[in-house]
Amino acid sequence: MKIFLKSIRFYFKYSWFNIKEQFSDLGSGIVGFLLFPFFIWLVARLWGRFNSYQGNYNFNEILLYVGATEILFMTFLRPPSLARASGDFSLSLARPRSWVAMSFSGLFGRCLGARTVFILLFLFIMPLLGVKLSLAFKVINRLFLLLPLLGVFQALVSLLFASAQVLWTETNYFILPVSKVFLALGGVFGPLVDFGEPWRTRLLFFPPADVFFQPAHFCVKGEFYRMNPGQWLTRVLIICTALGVLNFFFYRQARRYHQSFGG
Amino acid sequence: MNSLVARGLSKRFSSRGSEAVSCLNFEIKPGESVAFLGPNGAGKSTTIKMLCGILSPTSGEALVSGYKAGSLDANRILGLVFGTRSQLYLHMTVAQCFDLVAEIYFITGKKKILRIQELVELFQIKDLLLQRVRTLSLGQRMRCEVIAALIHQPKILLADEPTIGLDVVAKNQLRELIRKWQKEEKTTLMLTSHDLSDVEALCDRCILIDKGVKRFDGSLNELKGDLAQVRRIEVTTSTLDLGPLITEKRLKYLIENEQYVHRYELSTHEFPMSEGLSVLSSHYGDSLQDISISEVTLEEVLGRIYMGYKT
Repeated sequence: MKIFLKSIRFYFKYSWFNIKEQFSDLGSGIVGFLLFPFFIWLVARLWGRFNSYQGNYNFNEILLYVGATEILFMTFLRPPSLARASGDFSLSLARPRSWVAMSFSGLFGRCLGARTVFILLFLFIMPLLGVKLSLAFKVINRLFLLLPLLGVFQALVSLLFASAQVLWTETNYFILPVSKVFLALGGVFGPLVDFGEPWRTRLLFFPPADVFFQPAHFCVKGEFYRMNPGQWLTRVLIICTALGVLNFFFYRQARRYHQSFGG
Repeated sequence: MNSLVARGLSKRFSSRGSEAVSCLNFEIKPGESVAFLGPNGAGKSTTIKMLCGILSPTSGEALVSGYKAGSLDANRILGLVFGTRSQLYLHMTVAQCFDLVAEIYFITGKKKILRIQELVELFQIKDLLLQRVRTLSLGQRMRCEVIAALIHQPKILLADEPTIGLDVVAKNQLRELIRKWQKEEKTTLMLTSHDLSDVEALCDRCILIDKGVKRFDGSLNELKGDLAQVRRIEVTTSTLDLGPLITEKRLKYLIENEQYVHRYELSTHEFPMSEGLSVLSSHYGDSLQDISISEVTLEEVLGRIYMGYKT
């Protein structure tokens, strides 16, 4: 038990180390930080222009919604984090720590670190776009509530890709399409609630809606769309469990396949 | 108990391909410094990876202080330095990286602080501790890499090309520090390097492999064989009137195109150096401007051996 607790302490520490690393390399994310307010403004404007329905959100809420989904999306499946995790694979086999646990805590920490930076930026930008700071704080408080679980989801997806990259380097090319699928199906361009039927119901059925649209909707409105918190939690936990199983399978395959190279 | 043991160690990467390492046997005693040599593609890195558990052998076994390679116990007593692979985090400070590496190896609290302090003093990097890794020069970074590999006081250090890319000064400094550390902690060192001056500076024994098969296991002098007795003498003369000495058969003249420099080779067990020098001195007389003596380098020896494998 003592050893187990010590290990847990270490993985928390490693996660914290990665958060610090994220903050110490702000330069690499500078383009993302600069584009962040522009994206919020542009997507919100486009949505206001092209969406004829607009029955669920006013313009300020759209700004807050787009800001929240962009925070989640711009920190989703980041190639440098994946490269670090898959690059550590070999070395971890010669270290007395589990690669899965270390990479998971590292990816989780990096995700939290990056999202914290964007949240700080969000608080700075919203008043400039005309949104009350108190409203922005309310959204951020709700987002903080969901961040750990969303971080687990993001870390599991990233870990899956990191194992997959050890298996087939070509999976690198899938990262962009997969993130775009999440972008399109998850309601990052605009709230799914404003989509017409039958697409609204169809898109709400897919996992991307549970990890992008629903959290952002909750942040803005204070409730999940067409489901209670228990149902949302169950859905996300099922998604995370499925990802956990896939990770187990991919890791085992990666470990076996890793034996095929020398040099 | 031996520090490292390879028993019938073999690795085949595909069922149809040939063996990258074939039935390798050796034992390395505690405190020994052993160079693991071979041409490109000989199987050196594959063997090192099997010894540290990154690769599993197809057959045979690798033991680290009696533990199966790759086991938790083995990993705790192994230190690894890869010249082409960093253990440090570019955007963090050196001190933060050391702190993390210590925790990875279960070194915590006061023990961690004291150990890092000790190595920082030994490797003289106190002024680098608060610098970010990305701002270090290659030589400084390699010093830090070595410290990172030694924080948990490994009983065995596996170093794969630790001086790759370093300039002469940085190389010498690093070697000197490794030597100093090894003297203090009496640890086993296994080194692979294409820079044979590393090998000569740090190791007393070498294992030579080619195409996955062990070709030689013994001291560096044994590897040189008869060439260990050979000395090269370089004579600089002040005149072109006097030709090289070709009448003394035990002193082999090496034909080269430098007019004022004559090079000879002699084997000291056939022709003592004192006699050789006296013969040369009387031949050149007052025109003898300079004289230098050198041994056959390990690079030449290995070059000849590798060429022999190819033909």
